[in-house]
Amino acid sequence: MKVSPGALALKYVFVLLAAAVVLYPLLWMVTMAFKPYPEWTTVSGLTWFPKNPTLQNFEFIFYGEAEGLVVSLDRTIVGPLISSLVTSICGTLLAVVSGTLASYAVVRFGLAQSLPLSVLQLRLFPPLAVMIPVMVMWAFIGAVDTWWGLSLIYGIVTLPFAFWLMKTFFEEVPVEIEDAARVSGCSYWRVFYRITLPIVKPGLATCALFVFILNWSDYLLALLLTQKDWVTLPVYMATLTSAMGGQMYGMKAALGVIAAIPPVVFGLMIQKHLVRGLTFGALKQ
Amino acid sequence: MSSIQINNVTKRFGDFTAVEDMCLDIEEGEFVALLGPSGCGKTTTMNMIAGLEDVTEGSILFDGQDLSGTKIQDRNIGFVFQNYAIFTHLSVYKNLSYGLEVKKVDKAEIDRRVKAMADRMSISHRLDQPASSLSVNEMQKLAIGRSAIVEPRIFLLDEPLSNLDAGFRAYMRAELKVLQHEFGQTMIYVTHDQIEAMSLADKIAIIDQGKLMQYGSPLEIYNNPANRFVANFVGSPRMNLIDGELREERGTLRLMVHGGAEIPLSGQVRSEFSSDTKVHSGSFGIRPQDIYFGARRAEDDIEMHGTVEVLERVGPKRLVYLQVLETMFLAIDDQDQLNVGDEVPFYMPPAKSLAFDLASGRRLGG
Repeated sequence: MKVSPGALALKYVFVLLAAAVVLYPLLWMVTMAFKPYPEWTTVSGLTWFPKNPTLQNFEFIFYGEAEGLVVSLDRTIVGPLISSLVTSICGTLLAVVSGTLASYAVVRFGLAQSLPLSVLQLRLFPPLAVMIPVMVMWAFIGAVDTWWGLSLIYGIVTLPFAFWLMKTFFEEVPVEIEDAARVSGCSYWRVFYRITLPIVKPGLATCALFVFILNWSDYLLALLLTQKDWVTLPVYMATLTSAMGGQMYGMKAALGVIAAIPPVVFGLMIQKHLVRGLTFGALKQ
Repeated sequence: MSSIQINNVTKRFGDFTAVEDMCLDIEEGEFVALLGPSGCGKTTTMNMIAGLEDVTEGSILFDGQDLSGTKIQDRNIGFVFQNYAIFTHLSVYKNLSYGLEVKKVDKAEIDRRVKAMADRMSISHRLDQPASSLSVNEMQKLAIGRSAIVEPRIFLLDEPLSNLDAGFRAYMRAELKVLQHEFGQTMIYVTHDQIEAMSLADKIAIIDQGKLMQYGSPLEIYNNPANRFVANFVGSPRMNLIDGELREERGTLRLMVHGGAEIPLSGQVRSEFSSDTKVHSGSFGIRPQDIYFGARRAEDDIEMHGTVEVLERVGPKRLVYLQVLETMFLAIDDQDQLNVGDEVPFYMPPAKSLAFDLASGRRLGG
């Protein structure tokens, strides 16, 4: 079909608008990260790009103090960064591994047919509704402010998502492919990890990325279940205020830039699979 | 290569009986087709032979040996699936070598056999490409090659040709027959296409609603259907099967058809219908090519009159739809002698006619 120039122009205007809405805050964050203190606010007039670009903000969050700044931090970004990485990755592994195995058992062997709905129930109410009991339980087993305690709750909260996503991917795999492998002499386990898993690899990658982003950006659970040692980036970001300077926008922006890196890197790494994963239904049989 | 005996096998899924009391004897090296309409239990039967499904009752013996306790991966069976079940994430080479690698065959030997098989199936030029890039026709060849390469004791094919275009299907049909001779293997072939079954198989097992209807050579089944279902299912164009009440009138036995048509029965078919006095309603069967027009050829041929409703050209012949009151007979006109609207007499030789009990579908007398 031939598209008229007017329609094409309209399409681009619309795409640019949509992109602008999405990119505007991101761009603002990135430029803000390189602005020195006086340029954060309207005092000297807001500009898009820093008039005197500086790495001061990054220096500050990494070392706790920076030249030309009177305030200092008791905690640098390093601890929360490690904490976020460890708990997000462990939580993701937990959710993806158990979600994958469970959904495979449900789809292929018809086991635990009530599991899908009961797992879904985990997501039917906001995590906040159960956080008080969870806090009590976590305190009881000594899981508060530990890496494994936070990883565990991340794994549990994102498990339904991983389970349901993987379930739809497994349902797409024709059972005959597995039968063919079994007839060729493969055991069930070998069929699973040599045939089925490689086939759903795009889905697995997509699932892991989504779950990782969910965990990575969590604020609430980390706020309630950590105190000092295993505070994560989002919680840490909220502490970036000073009695003298108020909100430390530049530092927060710098932190935001750093926090955006792992999901972006992860996303780029699996980009090839991501497109396949989202269009998995098109798998040739 | 193995012989297979299926002894009184029943398969139930919950309350549903998919296969009931099935008995089949398959000789070593034989090519057997399981033929039946969709959902009749033929694929279930096949899956039980392969071991993909457990047998509820009865036993399946390979060379007299019960394999029900043997894991499917140790049975050494070749299986070609309807949708080919190609490992799309692997290369063509890896697809072919897969079964051998699992069996831990020596690397050089794998390479030799993969190349020979690719050559045989004429997909050598595709070996290094991903299997997902193959055309449907090539996938079919790959699927057969992948199953054959492990030299299985039996070869099972589940409607392997149904997804192919007409031209390639005809080619593959011939090719399968050649392959079967080359491999010399016992082959079981599931299909709902009677032409495939007729042209390929040494023996055909006709299955309906989980029950074996008839088991025999293609000709036997065509000429001597054991019951009304087989008569109706096999043959193209289909056999005329006219149902009605049997009534003795003025010394002749007649089949009174709903709508008023009457078939005066004579000769062999008459004695077949009267062989069981308990039968009051029957089904009269005759193949379209056995009905003839023009001069009567034998004394006891059954004569009827009908109107030519439709003429359908099929190659050099024409299919004739003859209306007798409310009943339609299908015949063949191979001399272009009829016109639409003609009122013509037609004849049916009793020796070529078949008698069935309408209630049970059982063949009478024959």
